[in-house]
Amino acid sequence: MRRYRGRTFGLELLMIGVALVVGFPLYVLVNLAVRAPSDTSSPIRPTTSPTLDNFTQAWQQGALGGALLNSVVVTAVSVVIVLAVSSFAAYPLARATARWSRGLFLLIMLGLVLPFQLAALPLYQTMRDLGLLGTPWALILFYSGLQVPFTTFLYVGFLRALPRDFEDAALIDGCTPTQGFRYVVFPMLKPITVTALVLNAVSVWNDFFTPLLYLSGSAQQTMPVAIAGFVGQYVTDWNLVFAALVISIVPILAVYFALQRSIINGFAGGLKG
Amino acid sequence: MTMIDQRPDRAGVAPARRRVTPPGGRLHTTPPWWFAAPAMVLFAFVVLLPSARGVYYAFTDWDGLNPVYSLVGLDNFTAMVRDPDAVQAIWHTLLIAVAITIIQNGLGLVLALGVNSTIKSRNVLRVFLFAPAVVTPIVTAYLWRNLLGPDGAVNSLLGAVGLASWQQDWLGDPGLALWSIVGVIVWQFAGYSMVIFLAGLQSVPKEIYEAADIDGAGPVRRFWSVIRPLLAPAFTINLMLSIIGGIKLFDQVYALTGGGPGHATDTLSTLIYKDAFTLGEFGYSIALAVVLTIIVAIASTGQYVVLSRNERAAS
Amino acid sequence: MRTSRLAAAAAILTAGSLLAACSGGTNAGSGTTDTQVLTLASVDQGSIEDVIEAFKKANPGVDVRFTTSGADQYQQQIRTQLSSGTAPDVMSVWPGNGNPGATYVLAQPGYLLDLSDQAWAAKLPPAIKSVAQYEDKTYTAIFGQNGIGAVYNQDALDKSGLTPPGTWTELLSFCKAAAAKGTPAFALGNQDNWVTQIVLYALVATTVFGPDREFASKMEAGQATFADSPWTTAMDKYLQMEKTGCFQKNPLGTSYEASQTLAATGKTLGIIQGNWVVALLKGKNPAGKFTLKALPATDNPSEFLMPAAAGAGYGVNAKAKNKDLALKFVNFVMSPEGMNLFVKKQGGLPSLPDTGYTADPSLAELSTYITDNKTVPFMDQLWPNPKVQQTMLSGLQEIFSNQSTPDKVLKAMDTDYKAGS
Repeated sequence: MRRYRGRTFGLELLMIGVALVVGFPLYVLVNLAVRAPSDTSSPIRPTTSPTLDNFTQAWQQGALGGALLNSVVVTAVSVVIVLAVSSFAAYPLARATARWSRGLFLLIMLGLVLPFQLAALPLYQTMRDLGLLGTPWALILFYSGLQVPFTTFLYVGFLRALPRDFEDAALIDGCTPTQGFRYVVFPMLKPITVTALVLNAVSVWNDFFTPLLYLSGSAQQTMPVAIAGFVGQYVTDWNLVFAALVISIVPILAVYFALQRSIINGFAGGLKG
Repeated sequence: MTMIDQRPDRAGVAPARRRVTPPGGRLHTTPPWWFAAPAMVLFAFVVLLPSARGVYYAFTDWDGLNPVYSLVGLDNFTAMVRDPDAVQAIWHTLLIAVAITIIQNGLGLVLALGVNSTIKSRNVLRVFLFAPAVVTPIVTAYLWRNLLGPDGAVNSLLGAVGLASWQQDWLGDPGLALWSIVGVIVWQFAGYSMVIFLAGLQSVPKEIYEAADIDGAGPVRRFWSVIRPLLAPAFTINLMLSIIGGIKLFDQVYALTGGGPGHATDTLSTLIYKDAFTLGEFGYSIALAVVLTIIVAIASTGQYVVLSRNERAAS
Repeated sequence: MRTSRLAAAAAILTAGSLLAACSGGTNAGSGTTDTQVLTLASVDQGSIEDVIEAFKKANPGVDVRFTTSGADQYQQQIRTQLSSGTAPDVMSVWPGNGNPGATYVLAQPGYLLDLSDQAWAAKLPPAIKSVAQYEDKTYTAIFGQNGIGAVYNQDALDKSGLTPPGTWTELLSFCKAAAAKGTPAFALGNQDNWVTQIVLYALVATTVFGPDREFASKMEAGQATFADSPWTTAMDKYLQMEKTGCFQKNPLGTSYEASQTLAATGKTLGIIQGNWVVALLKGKNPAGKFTLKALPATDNPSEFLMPAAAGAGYGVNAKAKNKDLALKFVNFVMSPEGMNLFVKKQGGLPSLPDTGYTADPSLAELSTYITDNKTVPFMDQLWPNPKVQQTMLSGLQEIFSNQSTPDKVLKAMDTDYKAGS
């Protein structure tokens, strides 16, 4: 184990300093979220009489309970699908040397490059023809496909850097390729899986326009759509918006925090096992 | 085109090929192709096929609404050459993408090394530094508009520490607005790059660090000769994602300046949006999107070739 | 048709019950216990919610599924949905032309239901009727109107010892005196590009339409242009105001939101904006007193005109799934109850006379101008395409940052105007 030295302490101070600079706008965000709308003092000044009213009001007015549930379901289901199919696909794409493998990988890369404006309208019309509009399934299907290139790219990159010896050993021991993937490859991909999980969850969670369009006309909403309900062209209560926003980012940060800790404890064991 | 066809081939697959015969002399069994099938089906359904259908509109004069429209051949593309807004937007797009790629990743790497050390606050900082990336871009943009205003927090802070001469009209000055946008993006996504570098650092087995420690390697030498080669895939991923993301950047620019003052910060993406939905020139906007695709494809392919070569050299 | 059957199937899935899909239309009368669903998309965030509540109360058993969004996202949403046949029953529609969600633009391809037969359609005042119609048929239920002027913060005026100017010369000396006291006359949030046009419109009303009320139809007939008209005078006056110090420093770096804070807290003496800003200023400073007055553009107050125009209203989808209920909703919006609820919440004025609405005292001058027929519509509402306005908005930002000149911008606007629709 590496030790905590004087130099480490200097680094600690430096990093905390950087974090303070980075965190400053976030401080403003939280500061305004706990402030009564009538308080127009500078956003930097700590709020003198903080209140949680904005949170309760945002929760009730925006029907955030239902929206939060929808967002959690859509995000969780799509991210699980994306991680499953992408890691599975990355295995042959990173390992196989045949021509088809190279072709498929380039095709996936093309997905990173294509601006979404091209596909937006035709895809919407396909969803309409399938009768999926107004249901969360349209969103789940959409994100499951949309995030494949990004996620596969992450997996292929990391998989190529991992030694093949463990998988080879498993195959020689009589594992099928599926078992080899399940018991050997996927566990080795844990750090990048956690990263991919969080990064995908952020994109899915924050998307605004797709749920607005795809769920319009139904009683369902997601968090960003519900929050946008507070943001008017002429009337804007930013204190409410920020309170709602704080509510909406907590789940993702919590997931990330929990997973980060688990990697650090679990990773070394994973390699030895 | 030959470059695009050949390089990814060598670059992409070579690392695996070089190790066909490992020390033990065993032969590898290749995982079957159908592992990729579910992902490909989803991807084709949601991205590939609709995009192919969407390209059709680039050759029409459709306004995005009226059921009646006609095919106009390459008119939309020739019109682009004569559109000074489009030419300017392409330049802004490239400038932003390059600046973000360099600064965001430089900072992201430094942060990742910092929180991968033994400092006590590392777990909290990992979450804290990543937090800006989680906040909806539209809202960070609103926050920053507030902070960067003439009487905003940034100027007050500069005044308070005796740097009043550094105070600027950050978003209102057409020469500065583009760089202010870059600053906001870096603030938001340095933590994002950090997370990917961190995943790379965590893939480095502890034993390697310990071995380097015992060897008495200094931090710089340890980074350069032990860690950097192992980070090669993280570099590839980060640089690729930020160049592509930088070129396609939309939300933050739109919410921070709307492309203004005037057209001083218009990028291809803001122009595509305005043309399609504010001006009702849907066909033309899709033509711009096609050009955007080509630019991203060239930039990312070029970068990938170089990075993969380095990755190979490192491994 | 295949598409419409699938759309119906989608509606069933959406509603989650067959009852909802089967009960549409005919049995809309009282006494039914079936739930009827109206779908609606709106840009009236913050006010539509109350109107929907009142509508549901007046029509038990009716459910309204609605989405609200900002104008930009709304325009994108509604165009996608209309061209795909999935638009809601009722939707926000802007008056006139020159905007991707405007009456002309949506009615021309046949997406809107003709509302000419509704009782309120005949009662709309001529100025509003003209922008609610396309080819002499009424398509948009316009419930409110808005005006532009100078909004003064009374406390700040008292503190400075100044009084609102009544002529152009007084305006300039007012600006100088205010700036000398360290509280500039008006807040200007030109970072949001739609704000740039507001002061210009206030000046154009008097300088262009004062001498010639028919200027808009002359332009339409090709007999007048921007560059060879008093539009140049209005531009010059806008810049003269800027040079005289009428606005706070760095208007291009100041957002609409920040400009409200300046005016509400007395850091400026007022703001040149639409009447909708009064409610926002009160939100930021509940104790404040704010009054809207005409912005002087010449030295002869008797020739002052104020820009006043129909606000966004509602149209009915020509293919509405539940037409009767949709009509019921727009008729509710146009009833005294619905209309008053809307304009009260938005701080505007009702579009129909005789709704028994007592306007906020801060808007007294605007009400008088409207009654005396001393108003002109917002200039862009009858322009042939959205590009003219976009060119003006980015052009004004370029003028303020010395990247362009008024003459260049007006000429570019002429080019776009002539390109037609």
